[in-house]
Amino acid sequence: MSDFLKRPRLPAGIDGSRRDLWEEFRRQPFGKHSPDLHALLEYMRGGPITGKYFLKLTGPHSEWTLARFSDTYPLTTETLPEHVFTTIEDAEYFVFRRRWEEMFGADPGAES
Amino acid sequence: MSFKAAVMGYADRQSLRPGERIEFKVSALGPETYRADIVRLIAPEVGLGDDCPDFCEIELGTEVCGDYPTEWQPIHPGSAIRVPMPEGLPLGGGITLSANIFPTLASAGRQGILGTHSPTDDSGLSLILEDGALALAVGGGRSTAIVTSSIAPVEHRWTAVAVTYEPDGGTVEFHARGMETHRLESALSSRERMEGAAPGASGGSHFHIGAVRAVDDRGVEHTVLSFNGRIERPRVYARLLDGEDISLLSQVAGPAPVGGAHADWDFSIGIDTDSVTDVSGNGRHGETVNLPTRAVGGSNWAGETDNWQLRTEQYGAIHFHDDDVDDARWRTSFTLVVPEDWKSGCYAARLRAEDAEFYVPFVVRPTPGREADAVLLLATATYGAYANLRLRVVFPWNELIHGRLTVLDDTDLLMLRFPEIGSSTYDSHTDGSTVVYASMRRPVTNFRPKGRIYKFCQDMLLVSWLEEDGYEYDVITDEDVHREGLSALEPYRVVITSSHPEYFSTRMFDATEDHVRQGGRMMYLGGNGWYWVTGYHPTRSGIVEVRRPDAPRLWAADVSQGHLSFTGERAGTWSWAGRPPETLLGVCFITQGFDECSYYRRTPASQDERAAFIFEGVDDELIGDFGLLMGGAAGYEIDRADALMGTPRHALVVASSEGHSNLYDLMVTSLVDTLPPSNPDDPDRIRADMVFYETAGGGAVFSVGSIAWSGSLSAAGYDNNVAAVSRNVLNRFLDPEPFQMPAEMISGFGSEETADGWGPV
Repeated sequence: MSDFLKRPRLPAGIDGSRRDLWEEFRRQPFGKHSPDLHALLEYMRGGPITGKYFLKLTGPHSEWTLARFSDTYPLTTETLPEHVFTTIEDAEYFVFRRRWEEMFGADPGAES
Repeated sequence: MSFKAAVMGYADRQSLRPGERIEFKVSALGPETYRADIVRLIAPEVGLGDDCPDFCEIELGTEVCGDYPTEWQPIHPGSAIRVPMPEGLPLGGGITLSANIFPTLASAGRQGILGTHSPTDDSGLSLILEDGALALAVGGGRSTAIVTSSIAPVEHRWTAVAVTYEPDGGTVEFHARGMETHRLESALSSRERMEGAAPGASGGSHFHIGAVRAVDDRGVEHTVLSFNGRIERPRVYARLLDGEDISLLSQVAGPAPVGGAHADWDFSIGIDTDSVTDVSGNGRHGETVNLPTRAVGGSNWAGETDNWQLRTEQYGAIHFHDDDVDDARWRTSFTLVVPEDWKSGCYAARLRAEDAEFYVPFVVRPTPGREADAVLLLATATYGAYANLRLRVVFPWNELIHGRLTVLDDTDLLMLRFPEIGSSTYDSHTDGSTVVYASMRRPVTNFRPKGRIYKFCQDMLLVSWLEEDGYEYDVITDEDVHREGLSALEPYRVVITSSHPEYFSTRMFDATEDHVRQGGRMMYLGGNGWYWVTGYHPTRSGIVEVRRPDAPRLWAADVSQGHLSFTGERAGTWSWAGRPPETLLGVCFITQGFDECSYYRRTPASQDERAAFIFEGVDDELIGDFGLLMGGAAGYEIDRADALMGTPRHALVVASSEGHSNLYDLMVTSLVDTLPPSNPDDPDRIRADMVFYETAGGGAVFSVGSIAWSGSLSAAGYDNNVAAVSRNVLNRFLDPEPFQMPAEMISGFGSEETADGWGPV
């Protein structure tokens, strides 16, 4: 596998204590981000396809349902109908929190 | 998992004129019938809200609309060579099969190399790989014996292999010898004899290379057990060769080292065709099936050149893949004859089975002599290169490079459910090698007016704008221009491009350039255009070829593959080929980012009187700081002007984008070094340039250099500065009054202004 396809590295100093990054993402999920948030997002988004979250388009660019790929090959998909979003931003924030919790053990969103 | 209905289809063409026929091929699962309707497409499905056009399609009452009995038509992927050999192999005196092979996925179970074996009727004899080991499939009529050796040719290495078979005693002898000359590892050299292993083989009835023959339930002949890897100079001798003779068979150039071959295929002949030539003199020529990759280096490729035309003898290999598919080969389900009174435009067959839906779009061209003044050139070459873009579904870094969660719908996920519909030229085969051919002769999941707002779906935003503003326009396709050249464009004063016309053949490039040179006008309302040298199949429509030797990190290009097989042309970017897009468009693709789109800021040059018509009635300094594609008109993929690369010296950069996100970093092909890190704030690097220039023949070019432009047209009910600029340009371009080159250009002296002043570049 070429380097290009490898998961980006999570730089030192980015951990669950960096609530500033969480705040930055909540404020602005898309667009120009600080270098540390950019690195964190690249790590989060660069994980393997197995088990990865994606959005199933369930309304014409107006409703998205959380879904994930199977943990093993051949890939299948599973929708999670309890998580339906009417904006992409809400969906991104939800997945960001889940990944944060998986990586760092706590969901900052649960505290707010 | 509950059973879900499915319907898929494709057509035999993407473009036709009134009075001509188009055949639709449909396969469905689930209900007893599926519904087919023909619709005219007016506006895509892009969402809800004031800034989005309402989805609009007009159902057309034709005789083909109606319910059809559901029929499942399978696709049989996997490439091979088929050689008519109705008499089968002459086994009487023993048989020798040989080839040089370069396996690339030895673990892929049973794979046919060459012979007549068919598991359907347990006939014939084929040399195969059995879980990576050389083996012989011996069909005796009632059953098949697999005689497996302990010889395992090494993956990604050339090995000369052969097998002899003596039918009476059933003795099998395998030979293998490593061929790599520049490897310091130990080379394979093996010979294995198995007395009485499998007597009584039949001769079979059809010869295949790179697979074996099968017949499906419908009686359709196809191939199975495809080989993954390269095969070179396969030969058949109707006698038992001894070890000494067999050791000579690895020679690929020149006359056969051992005379009296029953068949001897030299793949270096007819590389640009689907034909395979038998040089034994016995006329056992063959045809490729499902487009295995030609113009790849063989065992003797020496690295002197990556042009197969200069060292043809070093390109005597063909690369087979078990997932190649060039044509689903379905029966025609219904045929439409386009009525004479249909307007030129975008149409589709809309197929429905329960809640499953599938569109098969097509273009109706005008009747000759009835053309409008403006034409939308639909980027069907690009649709082809991206057809069934599998990486968007299954590649781990899709979310990474898009900076957003991947959004998929049921039609996208057909690629997981039915992987046999194949991949795009952005994908890899199962063996990891790059897909270089892509076809529209199969169901294409991303050629539709719904789903991801990209390619055709996005180009429908241009259609909806033209419809909304009441312009008379025609629609033609890339392939029309490729086949007909300039004559396809000559009836038109204005050519409006698609949002992403990335793939261009030489004839398309020539025709569009000649059109503006002769006074035509072009509105390049997109980004990443005229980027990759693209080949069309010389005889079959809807099939394109792309190789990217100048972007090896992205698509793992094999270093021997510097030229297209269809045309022999230099592969890669047009810049790499010495014809930068800047020379025509004024701009060239530099970067992409799909997380957020930005806006343009007008430059001082926008006040130039030459550009006055562009901004008539537009007082805003920022253009396109809105839009349904990530919030702006500048983004997705963006282009900038570059005088050194060929932007005309008198071109005006009238606006440039700024403020792009972190995702927009220079593409590999735009970098000269990886240091220093790029600074997205630097306007010299990350920007889309809006460019205008005139041609000496009275023509003109207006380029926006951004895919996202069309996503802003519909904002505020088409009352916005992107629509205003587009309208101003189109209205002036429709005006027959010739454009005038600036006087200093006519006299031969360029402007003294430079790019620093945002004047002419």
